[in-house]
Amino acid sequence: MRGFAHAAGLALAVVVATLTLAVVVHAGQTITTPNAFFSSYSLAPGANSSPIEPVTNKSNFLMCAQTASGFRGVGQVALLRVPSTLLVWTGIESPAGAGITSGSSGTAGTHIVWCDFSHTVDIRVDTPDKFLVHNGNATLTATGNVTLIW
Amino acid sequence: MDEAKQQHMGLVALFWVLFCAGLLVQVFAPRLKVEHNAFVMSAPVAAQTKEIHPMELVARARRMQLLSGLLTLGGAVGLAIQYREALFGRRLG
Repeated sequence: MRGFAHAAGLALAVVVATLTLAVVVHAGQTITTPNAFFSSYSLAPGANSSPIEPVTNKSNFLMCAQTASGFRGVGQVALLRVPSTLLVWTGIESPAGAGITSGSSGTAGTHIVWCDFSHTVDIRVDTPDKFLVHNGNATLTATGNVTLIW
Repeated sequence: MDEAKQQHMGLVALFWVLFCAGLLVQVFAPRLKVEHNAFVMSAPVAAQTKEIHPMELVARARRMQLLSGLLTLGGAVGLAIQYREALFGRRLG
């Protein structure tokens, strides 16, 4: 009986140690991960993604990539959010015909950067504090992702 | 029950509470995956979210993970000390 209790106690200690290790490893990974946020999207023709709020009064590096075959592309901008006022950005459009994109606006729908090869999927202003991904393609679903680093 | 035994049982109960609280915080922490050194929100989750606030999400996840880690580790170390004789024998007692 005493041996069984000892074995049960050791088994419980192993469970506690395992759970502790798992929690501490996960916590360590979360705490040490850089300030980078990756979000995927899959948008029907004409649809918008959920609005994304960048960090205030600090440079945000924003990248978008369209991963659907035939329309793949990638764009990037450095972006500043002036709270309740506007977004300011400068960067490079996606191919084909990549060029500089720059501007500042708080008006919904203002183009920021193209994400795809055919320039139908873009990141645009939603409010003075947020941007979103818009699929302007009339027939195709847009799939891709957005990465924000701050 | 003598006073020392009572104190021991009180500490054991406290460390179990700390340990379980750490696990509970872990369960209720934001479910943000980490892949390639970035916090990841999948397309279905992003689509269901009305507005995405990456900085707040990440800060909240970090706070809760730190709290969870401290509570769980504190509880586990406390339990190991309280049960040191049973676990490690009298050598460390």
